[in-house]
Amino acid sequence: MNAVTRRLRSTGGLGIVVLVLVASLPLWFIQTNFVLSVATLSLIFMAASLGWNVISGFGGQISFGHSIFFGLGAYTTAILQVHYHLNAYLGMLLGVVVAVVLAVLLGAVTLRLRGIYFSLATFALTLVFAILTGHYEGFTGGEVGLTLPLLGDAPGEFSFENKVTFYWIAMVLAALAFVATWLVLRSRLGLQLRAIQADQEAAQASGVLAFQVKLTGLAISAVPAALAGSVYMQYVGFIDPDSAFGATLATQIAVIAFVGGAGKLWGPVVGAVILVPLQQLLNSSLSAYPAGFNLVVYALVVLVILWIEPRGIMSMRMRRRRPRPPAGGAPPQVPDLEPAAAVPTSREAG
Amino acid sequence: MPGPLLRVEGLTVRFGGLVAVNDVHFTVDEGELLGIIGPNGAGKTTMFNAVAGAVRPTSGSIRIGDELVSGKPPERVARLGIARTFQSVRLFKAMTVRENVTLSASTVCPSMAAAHARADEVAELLGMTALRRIRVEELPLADQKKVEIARALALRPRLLLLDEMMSGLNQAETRDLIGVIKALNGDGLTTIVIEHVLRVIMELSHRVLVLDHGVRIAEGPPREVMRDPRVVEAYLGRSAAQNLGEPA
Repeated sequence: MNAVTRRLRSTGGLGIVVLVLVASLPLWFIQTNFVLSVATLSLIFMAASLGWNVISGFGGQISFGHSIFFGLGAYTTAILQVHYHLNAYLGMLLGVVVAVVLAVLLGAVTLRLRGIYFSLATFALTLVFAILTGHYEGFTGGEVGLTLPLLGDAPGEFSFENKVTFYWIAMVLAALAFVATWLVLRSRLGLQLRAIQADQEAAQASGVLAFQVKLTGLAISAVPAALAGSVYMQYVGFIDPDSAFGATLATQIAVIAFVGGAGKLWGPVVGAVILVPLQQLLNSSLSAYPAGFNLVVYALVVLVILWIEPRGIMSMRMRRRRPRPPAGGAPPQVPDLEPAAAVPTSREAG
Repeated sequence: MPGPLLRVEGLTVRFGGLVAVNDVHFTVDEGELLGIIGPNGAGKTTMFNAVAGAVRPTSGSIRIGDELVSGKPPERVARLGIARTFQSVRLFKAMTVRENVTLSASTVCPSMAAAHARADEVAELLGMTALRRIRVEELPLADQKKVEIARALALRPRLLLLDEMMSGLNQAETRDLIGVIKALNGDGLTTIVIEHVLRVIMELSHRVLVLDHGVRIAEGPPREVMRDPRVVEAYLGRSAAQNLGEPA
């Protein structure tokens, strides 16, 4: 019990410190539009990756198709706003509904597949969505994409002149996604998802309704991704099939979590803070070099991080803190166990 | 007089052309401890898997009480009250002892608080309270096996299936685990044990079922079964009589 409360307090405390720090960034650090846009995008992709972490990080069902939910969130808001002049917030809500419904439908088919086959199916599906959105031009704008009408400063329509507002909205989104995944991790669903990841047969022998648990996990995990998509839409004001459903976004959501630490609560946070700025910096600084050079550098950084620690950055930190048997004449029986026990618990969650 | 707790009738499991279990009948009474023996490949584990729902029977029926088990997936079978351990320990390695046990409790308890309470209760029953916060992969094998039993017990099973619990354990650990199984059975838990170590079967079982090539070749009290010439020939070999005293 003690360790649990300690863990809660440390996660909660750290969370509040980080939140205050991030909220105050525009006052002392974010002084240019470039930095502001990088920071906002980091938070948006962080939210999508936090969602991914539920089914793929905790549940071990590695999705390379969370761009489906991101894209559905973005396109649903955009289509409703452009074609039906629906309120942006309502569109956002409907975007979540559409994404969750699709998550259940697609999950009903794909979650029966194990391991790499599930991953491949999700990846194939997101590319199918890219083709479909490109095809139905009248509705989606086709390959050209959809552009939101310029509304100026209209808070009621999710439109803000001051881009710092979007930064704070993205921050709230990421914070909510973080709290949501934290609650999932502590819940029955989180425990059962982790058991499925560890050994699905053993979990089933323990009474875990594996398919239902995975389906629920996928549906929950689609929510932050869809919200991230619709916030992205409102922020950037433009979406096309490739930036919504394309291979880059599909892998990026997963890679952010892998680099930070898949299955770790803070993994997507750390991953997004490192990778999104890196990507944006490389895009702008290496554009004079042959095309694609920025991606090569990006890939190298990812490879080096995962080569040093395949379980992601969060595991690096923990590994350095790993049990060092208490020095000197500590009593021989129990003390070995205590630190060894404390580390892994926090590692699972932290 | 109520009927038997478990009733297996005409159970056949076929993998392609191979008949792993062939028309096996048996019952287990409430509170009984049934031992199942047989040479390698006799179909013991396959039959176990069929009872636990991990393998779908080709034909035949399995019932616990009035409830039909055969054809149901393993998670449903577990919720019907048939809990199992695995031949090679299959715990959730990166989780703590408490998390492992809470996991199975969480599938039958109404809330996580109740699941935690159930897990702590089972841990105490097995004398593992001090180990609760340790990750199972850091435990010695004997303790891991106990965690598997604890995880099964958390389901409040009506029937416990133990598959080769003693493999890899030394004399003292075997003795300890026999004590645990006896105590649980003594409290009324119906148990089926598959075991290679004959002494264990002799000591634990009320009744022994012998399989060979998927067929039931003998059944009865341990001592009688061991003297049955068919058993001696099929399972133990011709010179087995002398070896009976040694650990197999």
